[in-house]
Amino acid sequence: MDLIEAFFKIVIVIGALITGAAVMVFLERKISAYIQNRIGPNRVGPRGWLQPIVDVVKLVMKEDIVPKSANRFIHDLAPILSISIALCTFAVIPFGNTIELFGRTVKLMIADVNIGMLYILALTSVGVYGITLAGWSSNSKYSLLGGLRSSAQLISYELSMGLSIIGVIMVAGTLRLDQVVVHQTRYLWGWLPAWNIFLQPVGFITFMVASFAETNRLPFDLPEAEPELVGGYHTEYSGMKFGLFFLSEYANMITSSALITTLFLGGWSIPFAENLALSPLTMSLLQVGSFVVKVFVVLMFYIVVRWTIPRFRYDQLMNLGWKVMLPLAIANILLTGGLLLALN
Amino acid sequence: MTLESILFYILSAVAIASALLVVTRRSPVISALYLILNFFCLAGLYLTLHAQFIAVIQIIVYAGAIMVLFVFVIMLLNLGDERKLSEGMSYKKVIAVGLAAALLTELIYIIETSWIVLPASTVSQGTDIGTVEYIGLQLFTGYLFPFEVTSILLLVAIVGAIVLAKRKY
Amino acid sequence: MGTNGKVIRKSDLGFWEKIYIPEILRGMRLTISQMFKPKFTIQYPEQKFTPPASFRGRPVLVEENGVERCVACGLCSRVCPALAIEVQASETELDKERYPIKFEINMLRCIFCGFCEEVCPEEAIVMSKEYELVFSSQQEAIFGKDKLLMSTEKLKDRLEFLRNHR
Repeated sequence: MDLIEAFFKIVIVIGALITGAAVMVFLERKISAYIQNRIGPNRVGPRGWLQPIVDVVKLVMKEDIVPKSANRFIHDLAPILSISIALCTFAVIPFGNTIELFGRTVKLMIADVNIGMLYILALTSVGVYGITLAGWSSNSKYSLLGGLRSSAQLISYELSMGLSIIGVIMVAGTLRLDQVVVHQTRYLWGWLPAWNIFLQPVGFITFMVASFAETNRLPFDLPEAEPELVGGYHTEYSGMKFGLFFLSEYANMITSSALITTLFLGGWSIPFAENLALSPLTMSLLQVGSFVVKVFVVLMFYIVVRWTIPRFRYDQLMNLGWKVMLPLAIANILLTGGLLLALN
Repeated sequence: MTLESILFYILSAVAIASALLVVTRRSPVISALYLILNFFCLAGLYLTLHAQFIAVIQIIVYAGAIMVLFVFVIMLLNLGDERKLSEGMSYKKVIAVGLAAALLTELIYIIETSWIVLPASTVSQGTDIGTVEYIGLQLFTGYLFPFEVTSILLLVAIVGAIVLAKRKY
Repeated sequence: MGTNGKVIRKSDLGFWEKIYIPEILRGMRLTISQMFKPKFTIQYPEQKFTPPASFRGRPVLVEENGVERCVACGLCSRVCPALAIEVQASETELDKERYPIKFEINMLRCIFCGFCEEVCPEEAIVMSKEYELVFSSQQEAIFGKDKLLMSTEKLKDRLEFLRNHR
C-alpha cells in the first residue's frame, strides 16, 4: 500500500514537473516578448497555448545527429544524467502538509528522508556531470569550453549555496525539509510570519544568487553563452537529446524555485490561515495551492531577471562567487550562530 | 537472503568491477567516470550499513567536488590516450603485483583466522549510529581533539597551496 | 560616457550602486513596466505593413503614357554592385529615340541598394514599396519588362519623395 502511494506521488510529481517545464518554456517566450514590446507565439491553439506541445513534437521528430568524432556512449549518457538528476531532486521537497484521502493520512512529499537538505546538495553537486560530459563527449571546442565553464562555475557557487543553507539549518535545527517548513509556520512578535527570508535575509540573497548560477540562468548563463560559444555544451546536440537538456534546465529552475520557497518563503504554509477554521481537506488543498503560487512567483522572478540583467563576464563571475558570496555566506553563519547563542 | 544482503552483493560486485575498469581503461576521462561510479557504489554500501550521513557526504565531497575537479583538470589539459606509460615499467609492475599479492594474502589470513574479532555490537546498536546528530555529537565530544587537528591540517594544506601558487615574489 | 560628456569610472559608483541589488530592482521595474506598453507586432499574413515613401522595395521601371521612361543608357546596369541588371537598347520612333528592347533584373542578385535609382538620369527606374518576393524556381526570379513596368500613379509617393529629397 505504501508502495502504491509512493508510486502515485512520483507519477504526479514527475508529470507536474514536466508539464510545468513545458509551460515555463512557453511563458518565458511570452513574457520575454511582452518585455520587448512584442506579442510572442500566438498561432498554435488559443493565444498560442499549445506551442509547447508543438515544440516537443518537433524535437521528437527531428533527426538525432551525433558528431563523427564524438564519444557516442557518453554523448547519449549526458542528457539522461541531466534530466534524471533534475527530476530526482524534487523527491525530498514537501509540496504540502498532510492530506486525508480514502481514510489514509498521506504526507505530501515523495521521500521523507531525515537528511533531505544533504540529499539536495549531493544531487546538485552531481548534476554538473551532465553538462560537463556533454561538453567533453561532443569533441567540439565550443562544447568543451561550455562544459569547462559550467564545472568551474558550479564548483564556485556550490560552496556559497551549501553555506547559505547552513544558516537555515541552524535556525530550524533540523535537516528535514518538512520540519523546516513547520518551523516557519510560527510568528515573530505575533504578526510577522517567521519565514526564513526575514530571519536569514543575507542567506536568502546568497542562496538566490547561487541557485541562479546552479541553474545556468542569466546573468550566469556562461556555459551556454550564445554570442561566444554558439550553444555552449549543447552545441552538438539535436533532436530529443537537445530537448532533454532544455527540459532539464527548466525542471532545474522549477526545483530550485521550490527549494527557495521551502527554505525561505515558508513552503506550503499560509500565514494566519489557521484562524479561518477550514475543514482539514480544504486546508491541505489550499496549502498545496499556496506552495504552487509561491513557486510560480519565484519562477516569474527568474524570468524577469533573465530579460533584465546582462551576462557577467567570466572574471566577474568568479570574483562575485569567491570574493563576495562566499565571505557573505560565512559571515552570515557567524552572525546567525552568535545571535542564536545570545538569544538562548 | 534479505534485501540488504542482496543489495550488498550487487553493490560490491559493481564497485569491484568499476574499480578494475578505472585502472584498465586507457582514456583518463573514462577512468574518472568509472571512479565516480565506484564512489556511488560505496555510498550505496554505506547506506546498507545505515550510515546515511557518510553516504551523502561521500557523494557530495568525492563524487560532487573532488571528481568534478579531476574531470575539469583532465578536460582542461585535454589528456588523450596515454599509451606510452605502459612501456618500460616492467620492474615496477612486478613489484606492484608482488605487493598486491602480499596484501591479499594478509587480508585472507586475517579474515580466515579472525585475528581481529570485530565487535559484533556495532551493528546491533540500532539505526541511530549513522545519523547526523549522532556523528555530530561524537565529533564534538569524544573526538573533538582529532577533529580540530584535522581542521588545522586542512588549513595548513590550503596555506601551502596558496604559497605554491604565488611563487612570483 | 555620461550624459554630460563626463567619463564615468567604476569609482564614481555610489554605495547603493555598488551593492547592486537596488539597481537590479530598478532594472526589473523598467522591464516590468515595458510589459504593459502597447505592442509593435504586425500580424503579418493578415495585416500588412505599408511602408513609408523612403522604403526601398523591389526596383521597377516607371511607365508613363503606356511606355517606359527608360532610354536604355545602361547606367543602371553599369552601377549595379550585384550585376543584377541587363539592358539591351533598340531604336524607336518616339521622341526619346532609344528604348530597352530587353530589360531584366535578376531578383536573386538584387540587394536593394537603390544605386540604379540614384544614377538614372530619366528617373525611369525607382524603388517601389513591394517587398513580397516569392519564387519557386531560379528562372522565375529573373524579372523581365512585363513584371518590371509600373504606372506613375502607383509610384506617386516615391517620385514625390525623390523630387523633395534629392
